[in-house]
Amino acid sequence: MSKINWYCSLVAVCVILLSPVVWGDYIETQDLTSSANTKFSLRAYGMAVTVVAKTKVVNAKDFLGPRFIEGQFTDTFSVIENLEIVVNNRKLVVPSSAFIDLVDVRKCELILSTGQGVLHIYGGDGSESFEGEIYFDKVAVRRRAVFDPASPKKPMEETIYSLRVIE
Amino acid sequence: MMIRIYCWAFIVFLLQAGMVFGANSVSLKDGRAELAIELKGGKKFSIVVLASKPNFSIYGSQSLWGAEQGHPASAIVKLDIRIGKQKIYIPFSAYADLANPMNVSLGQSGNDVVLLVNGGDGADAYTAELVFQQGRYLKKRRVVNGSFPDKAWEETRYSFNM
Repeated sequence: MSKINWYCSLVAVCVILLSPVVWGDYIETQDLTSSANTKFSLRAYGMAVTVVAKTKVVNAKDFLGPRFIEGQFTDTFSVIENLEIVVNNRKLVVPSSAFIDLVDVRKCELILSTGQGVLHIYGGDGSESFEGEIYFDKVAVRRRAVFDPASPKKPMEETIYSLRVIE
Repeated sequence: MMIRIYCWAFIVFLLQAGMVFGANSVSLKDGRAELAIELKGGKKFSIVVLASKPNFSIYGSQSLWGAEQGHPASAIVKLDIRIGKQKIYIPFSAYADLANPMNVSLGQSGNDVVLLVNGGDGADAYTAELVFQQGRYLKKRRVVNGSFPDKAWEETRYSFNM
């Protein structure tokens, strides 16, 4: 093989290895409004992740109680009753504070990258819209951030978790 | 000599703790608690805490602070906080997961106002601390487990647009 061919082969291998297809994020998106149980899986970077989101349609006025403000929400919306994240057959502890305050949930997206997974939860409408991000690894849920889509760089709130992990 | 230093340090700690949370603790047994303190500028910082049995199954099987197995007898359903007559915005996340609250207390730490919520029982006991920057807006929430305060906790920083 000539030197030029050898260099071409080397460049091709480098291009393939460095391409996003090989090393990029793995993404799975699901609608949260069409079913009460949304289950989906993704496998990458040594992580086999299954997410089960149990949702429920509730009456906004009944659900929000004293927090209800006329005209701010639709009459009914979906809330997350339970969220299960399983990584490599290990069920992670998902603190309720990671999702209990998210009302009018509509879509979620699971992204796996090196060493961690992020579950994005999108919801609301107009000025009430939000994006929640739940960060986890093979052992535990580590962090949650909630963003206003109008200010995507700085989270409105950010929670760090230190929870006992039962082996 | 060292024993004397430790004794003084302990006394200072007790005095500080007393100044912050000494006198202002109210039970939530009846589902309602009202607390108030005067801020440095003379304005009144007042809180009304409402707790009741949650209606929805969203609270059913979830692991909440104060009810690890779910199905809490009560949960905080509203925090009404005012400086003078002006209402302060409190996100739902600040109290949504605080189940079986027992008592609340209000105090000051430097320029900040601190609301403490004690709840749960036995292994489920917890303390939630809500810190209001200079009494004006919610800056931080920290919840710790009563049995494993160093290992089981969560901390939230708020920076919403005012």
